[in-house]
Amino acid sequence: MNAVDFRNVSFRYAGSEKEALANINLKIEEGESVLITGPSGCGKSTIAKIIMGLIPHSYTGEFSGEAYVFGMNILENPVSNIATKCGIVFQNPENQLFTFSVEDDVAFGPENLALPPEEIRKRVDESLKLVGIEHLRYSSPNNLSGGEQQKAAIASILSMYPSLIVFDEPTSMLDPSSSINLIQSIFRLKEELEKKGGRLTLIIIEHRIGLLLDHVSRIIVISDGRIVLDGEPLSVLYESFKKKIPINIPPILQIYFRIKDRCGLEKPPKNLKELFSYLREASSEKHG
Amino acid sequence: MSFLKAFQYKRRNSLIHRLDPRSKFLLSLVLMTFSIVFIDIRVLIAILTLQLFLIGLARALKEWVYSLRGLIFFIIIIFITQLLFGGTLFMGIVLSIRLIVLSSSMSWFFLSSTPEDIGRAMSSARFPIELTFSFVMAIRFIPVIYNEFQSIYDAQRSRGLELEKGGFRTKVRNLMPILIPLLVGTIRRTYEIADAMEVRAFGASPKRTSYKLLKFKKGDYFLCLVSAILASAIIYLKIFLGLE
Amino acid sequence: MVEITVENLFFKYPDAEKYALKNINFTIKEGESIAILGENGAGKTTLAKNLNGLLKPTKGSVKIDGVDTRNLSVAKIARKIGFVCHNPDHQFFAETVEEEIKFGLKNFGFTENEIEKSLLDVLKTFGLEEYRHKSPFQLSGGEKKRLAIASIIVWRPELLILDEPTIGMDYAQRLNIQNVLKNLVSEGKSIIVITHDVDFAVSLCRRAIVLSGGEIVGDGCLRKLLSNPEVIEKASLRKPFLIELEEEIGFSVIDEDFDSISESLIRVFDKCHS
Repeated sequence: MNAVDFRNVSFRYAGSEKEALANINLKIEEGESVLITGPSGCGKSTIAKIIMGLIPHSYTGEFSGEAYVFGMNILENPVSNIATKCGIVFQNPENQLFTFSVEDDVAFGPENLALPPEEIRKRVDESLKLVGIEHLRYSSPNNLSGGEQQKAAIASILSMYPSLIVFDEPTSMLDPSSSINLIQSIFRLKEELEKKGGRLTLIIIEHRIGLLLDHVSRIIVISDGRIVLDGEPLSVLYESFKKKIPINIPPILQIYFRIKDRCGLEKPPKNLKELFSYLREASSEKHG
Repeated sequence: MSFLKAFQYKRRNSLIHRLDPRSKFLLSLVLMTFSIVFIDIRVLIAILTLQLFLIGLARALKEWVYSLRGLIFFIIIIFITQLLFGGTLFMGIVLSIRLIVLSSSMSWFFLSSTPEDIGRAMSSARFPIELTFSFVMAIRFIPVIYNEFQSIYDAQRSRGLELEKGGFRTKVRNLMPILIPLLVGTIRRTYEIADAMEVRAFGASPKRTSYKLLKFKKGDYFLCLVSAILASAIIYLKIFLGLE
Repeated sequence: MVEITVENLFFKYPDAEKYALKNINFTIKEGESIAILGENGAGKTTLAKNLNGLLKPTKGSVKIDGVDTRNLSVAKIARKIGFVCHNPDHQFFAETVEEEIKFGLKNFGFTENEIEKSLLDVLKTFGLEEYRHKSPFQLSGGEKKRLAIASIIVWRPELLILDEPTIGMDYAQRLNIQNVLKNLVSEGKSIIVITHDVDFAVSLCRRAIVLSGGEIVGDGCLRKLLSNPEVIEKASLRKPFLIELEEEIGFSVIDEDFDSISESLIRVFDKCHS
């Protein structure tokens, strides 16, 4: 089944002249890990809000087209219905924690679903463990670092047992080492869940492509409210390099794309060392 | 704005903190009734002593002293009206103590109960969930908004804004560069919080379960007993002894 | 000309138990471009706020042109040392971009003529002319950042401190800010950039002050410090791409200009097809 299925979706925020999204057709299969990138203000977050049903239910504007998540038409389902299948982690971690202990925040969603207390306890235990923050269980969000707050926010989404999680620029307020750490724990968590026979679809919205390149199987580039590229990561990046779409292509690939044809490089190097050894090889082949 | 610091809830774990907020609230009400019913200085001092003991047990004496600062203004008014309308200095003192006892009954409760406990007590008393959460979140976000205020204040001071300068009107005008960004930021934050709550199915089921339930323990029954004894004391002192 | 001398600076926040800054010593002279590097919580912003008098040392001293910051008002220091906070939304309040830029000038008592002239200058340099009468709240993220810098640079402080200028910026916005700041540096303006973006720092600054746990773990030539594995490890930084490249290639790369980098690579391995 498709986790996400957008058919000709357009949206214009009330009070704005321009469409935030125009004619988006997008299918994401269950279990995929997708990176959505593009310049600020291009409409990435709008896609996230539509997946959750926040648009059109909580935001005023003009919505057209059809959007389905796991077969549910977002127009016909309230956000609380969609929330049992999809979760979202937003940019600012401190606005996603409402109580005085991580534990209470993780319990918040299941409590809203009126689950029995034993079930909630089980979910809280599991979620904290999956994200690796059992030691923060009784901490107050006010005393956590940004990275820890963001992990608590992930745990409080996990306790809803979602099949899809959208991350809307989850690391933009974190420093580089916490960002890497957070991304790693997101994919570790997917692995863990899949080992247990579950399935998790991940959609990550992010500028810093380098952080995610090793983890995702598909990149979608949005510009001016339209999907301009969609496909296998390396070819999408090469296309955007050729078309000069301003996205954050990792430096090593910036060089690779410029010299690959002239130097006969077939594989993209992982790091500079590899690039240089390829180059040496290529040049000795030619002269040898 | 530094008064907001008084709200910064600090996690403590005292004998009093572990009690059920409902039993603490009951005792608070009884103590408050004393200050409303009686004006006899002996009774008031006895209750104040008991309150000091309770606040001491909750290890919150420092915060209590801090909260008294807010009363200074009212105490001055008490003395001025007493002097203006032919009261005595003694009466001024009695009324001030009465005010302190009244406010301490409440501050003892709030200083020794965690916001989430109070929230749970509210929902077990069948307050609407929206109200309960507004209460808990207001307290949760006070320090966050205070930090934001501090950043804004720093940013504008770095642009040469001087709040101390000028007369009353200049001062009010000078507040705008701080209040406007704070207001805009808080509104934006409110939207973000609302989104985050909604995607966790807030309001999905009218029933909503609570994963941690409040439980009455021995200490709570003891507190109820104390409240009952004190309540009978009120009746005895007022009706049988006719104390004022 | 402005010179800052920091001597044995210790700083502790009122309610905190631990010192946020410990035993900090350095001097900043005219025309320097400095990056303050370190993890979140290393004390970078606290240090910056001590430099412009928003915070006063708990022990030790910070002197600006020989005068202790304790004896100076924030406004007085701000006239010489501009501070751009990390979130532009924390400073916008006026109805138009123009008023936003004029705010500082008015506070510092510039004359009408000076205000008008400086306003026009800065609108032009920062490419904000078309937004002059627009509301600052309607600008995009990158434009807001530019306006934030413009509204400080407009009174021509002698030193500019920027707190995390690239945080949350996308590729194009970051490049734009980088160019704006490079121009300032090439005009001889002193700048201090607080950042954990080492690639950004290396393209902009010559000197680095590296903090970890409130202490200085390195102060000196930025390129040298960022090629020192020990410093990188201590402050959990990363070696900037340009420095890595230099080490492999054996000659110096000044700029993150991939066209010229690629050309030089092809030249080095000139055995490739051309």
